This record gives sequence, C-alpha cells and structure tokens, in this order.
Amino acid sequence: MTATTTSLCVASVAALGLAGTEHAYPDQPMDGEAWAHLRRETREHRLTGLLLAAVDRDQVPVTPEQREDLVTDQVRAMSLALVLEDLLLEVAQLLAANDLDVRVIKGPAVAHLDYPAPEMRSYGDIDVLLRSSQFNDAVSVLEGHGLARLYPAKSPVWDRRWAKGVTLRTSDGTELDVHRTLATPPVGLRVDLDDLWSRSEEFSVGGRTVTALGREHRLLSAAFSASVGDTEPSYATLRDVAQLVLDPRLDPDLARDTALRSGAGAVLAAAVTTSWRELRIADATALSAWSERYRPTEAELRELGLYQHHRVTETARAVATLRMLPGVTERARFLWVVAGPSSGFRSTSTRGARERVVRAVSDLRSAGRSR
Amino acid sequence: MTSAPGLPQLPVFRRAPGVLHRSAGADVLLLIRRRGQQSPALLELAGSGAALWHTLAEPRSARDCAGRLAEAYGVPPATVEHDITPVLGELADLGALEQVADPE
Repeated sequence: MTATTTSLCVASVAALGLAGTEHAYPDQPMDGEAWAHLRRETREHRLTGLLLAAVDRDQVPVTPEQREDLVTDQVRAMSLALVLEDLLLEVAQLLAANDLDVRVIKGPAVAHLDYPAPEMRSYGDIDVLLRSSQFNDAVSVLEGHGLARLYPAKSPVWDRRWAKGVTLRTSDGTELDVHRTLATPPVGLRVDLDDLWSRSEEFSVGGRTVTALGREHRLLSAAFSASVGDTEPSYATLRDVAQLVLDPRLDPDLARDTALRSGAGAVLAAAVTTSWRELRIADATALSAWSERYRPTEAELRELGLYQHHRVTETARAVATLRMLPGVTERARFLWVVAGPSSGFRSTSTRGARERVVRAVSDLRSAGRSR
Repeated sequence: MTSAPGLPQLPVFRRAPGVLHRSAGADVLLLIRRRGQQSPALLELAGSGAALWHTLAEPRSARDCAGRLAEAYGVPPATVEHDITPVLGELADLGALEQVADPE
C-alpha cells in the first residue's frame, strides 16, 4: 500500500490487507459526501469489518465521526451475524438429530475459517448444503420445525434432481438457503456432488462444532457465487475468492482438479481473474496463473453468458439445461416440471426479506439494551 | 489465579457455553439463549464491560479480573473489583457468564 489517492472506492476496500494489491489508499480522511457514498457501498457489499479493521490498524485515515459511523454499521452487521449463527446451530442440531448430514457453506464458513477474524466478513443469510438423497427429507424436517418456503415447490422431483436448493424462512424473517448443489441449472447439474462431500473442515460457534466444506471446495463454492450466482457478485465474494487463493494452506492443484471434475474450469478461472482484476492483485500464484492461461471453449462461454444477462436468462437456462439432460424421459419430465401448470420460474430476489431480518435484529438489540 | 491455602475459595466466572459473541470496534456483542426463552437476547458491552469480557477468555475470579483490568486502566485493583463485582453478577444472571466455584 504505497500509492495514495484522495478517496477510496469499494473495490479498494475489498482489497484491504492483501499484500499484492495495487489499489491506492488515501493519506487523509475523505470528505463528507465521498465518505457517505463509500460507507453505503461498503455496507451493501458486506465489507464494513474489513474497513474497520484497517482503520484500527491505522491503514486508512478517518475522522472520529467516520470511525463511529463504521462502528454503528459493524454493530448492525455483527448483530445479524449472531442471529444467523444462532439459527445455524439450531438447524445443524435438528438435522443431526434426524441423522441428516449438513455442511455449512458461504458466509459463516469462510468468515470463521478463511479470514483472520470472523468480524471481517459479514453476511445476510445462512447457507447449508444437504445430500441430494436426503434433500427432501431434510426440507420436510425443517418445515416441520416451523420454517417455511419462500416460494412454493415446483415438485419434489425438481428439488431432488435439478434445483440448486430452496430458501426457507423462520417466523421472524431470518432466511436459510438450503442447497443441493452450488449453482442453478445448467451449470449446477454438472457439480460432482459426491466429491463435494469427500472432504470437510470443522469450526466452532459458541463452543459447538459445525462442519464446512473442505478448503478447495470452499473456493469452488465462492467461484460459483462469483461467476454464475443468482445476482451480481458482491465484492465480499470476490474477496473470498482472493482470500482463499492467496491462503498458503490451499492446494492449488487440488482446487483446479476439483473444479475440472465438476466441469467448472471456466467458472473457477473466471472467478479468479475477475477477483485479480477488481482487487488489482499484482502477485501471481499457481492458480491465478492457471486462470489467466485458461481458454474457455465456445460452449463454456455461452454457458457463462447465461448467468450474465438477467433479463433473458431463465428461459435460456431452461433450454440449455434441457439440452444437457440424458434421454427423452428425463427431458420430458424436466419440461413438465418447468412448464407445467403449477410451476414457472420465479424471481429469487431476497432483498425484502433481508431488510426484515435487519429490522428483527434492531428489535433484538433494543430488547438487549433495555436490560 | 487460585486462592492461597487456608483462604476462602473465590468464585470463578467463565463465559457460559453457547453464548455467541462478536467484536464491533471496541464493543462486544453477545447473543444469549436462555432455557425456556423463545427468542435470544442480544447485549452490547461497551468500554470496560467489553474489556471484562475479553479478560474472561479464561475462567477467572473477580479479583483476578480486577488485577488485570487495573493494570490496563491504571486504576487501583480494589476500585476495579468493587466496580466489576455487580457487573459479573448481572452478566451471570443474564446467562452470559456462569460461576464455576462457589465461595465456602
């Protein structure tokens, strides 16, 4: 961090603490309007913890009032993280009691396992992976415990065979994304699900042990979110990719082979090159060099494109999925579920629900402070 | 810190199992789920309250906590012990801490 500038952008915040970044950082506090904009974007991209940690290490100068702004945002983000982890423990315990396996993926897993402190990575929901063979049973157990689907099921066969997963919501509005695989069809159908369950890593929440994917699979999961996620990737996701790739504990060959086994070489390469470009990382690693060299096929480029044009993708994705399904019967069944009278692709936007979770957290905080 | 032989054993406090916590700046947030409660309680510890929580990363008596905080804040240990004893009790009542050894 040698270069200086008068202002920070959200990409430079996402790169804070990365040794190889060429982002420039200011040597004076930002002015009010620029600060307000940065603060909002930092919050939206779930990077407040990273910025606050850099401020407290004197890497980014701020006024006392600006630091107080960050603490206010961080209290809100961490309050939500605690509420979500409470739900995670409840879900993990419930599924274990029913002999159902579960892996924690995305936010909480990387926060606890891949960042120097979990405070540096905030998140807005809980994501867990279930075995495909246990998926419908697990969802039934969760529904029996009071969680409700955000959207009605297309059909049990859709959930078990083709869906990425379902979103459930507690009575107080907290969301749980229950995954069967790491991406929506067609890309998600190629993920080697047995391989996903072949390695794991544990971490502790409130003194209780929960299980996450192994490190290389956590990178694959972050790469899917970055390259073929339901929404534009947040800078927190791009930071996750960089954080994992730069971790000396990551086995780059295993990470590459893991992606290739799931037909996701282009997904991983695109995620890494995007992270390297956006975070302006100058240092090359074995995996970043491989990603730079990777030349996706025409078919891979077409498939990645299905996830980059949100207005036209649902039908296009369905057609692409149909093409990759084996056999007439399987295709006919898929068509019936997708285009049948009780279905229809629906938006998966969860912004409104997340806002309700934040409001619920505010209520909890008020209750806590009134002691 | 343990009591000297022959002296009454001091109560030792530790973080209650299952309490979730996160730092936010200098503050500490606690999420406490108490038995029989439908919803968890969220507490925010600021200033010396947060410092007390950090001190309790290991089980300690009030006197042991006071000694460590006195050094950090430059305040007489007896004053700190007087101030934190009710806070420890309150946190224990709320379920954030538990007492692991009773005084004789």
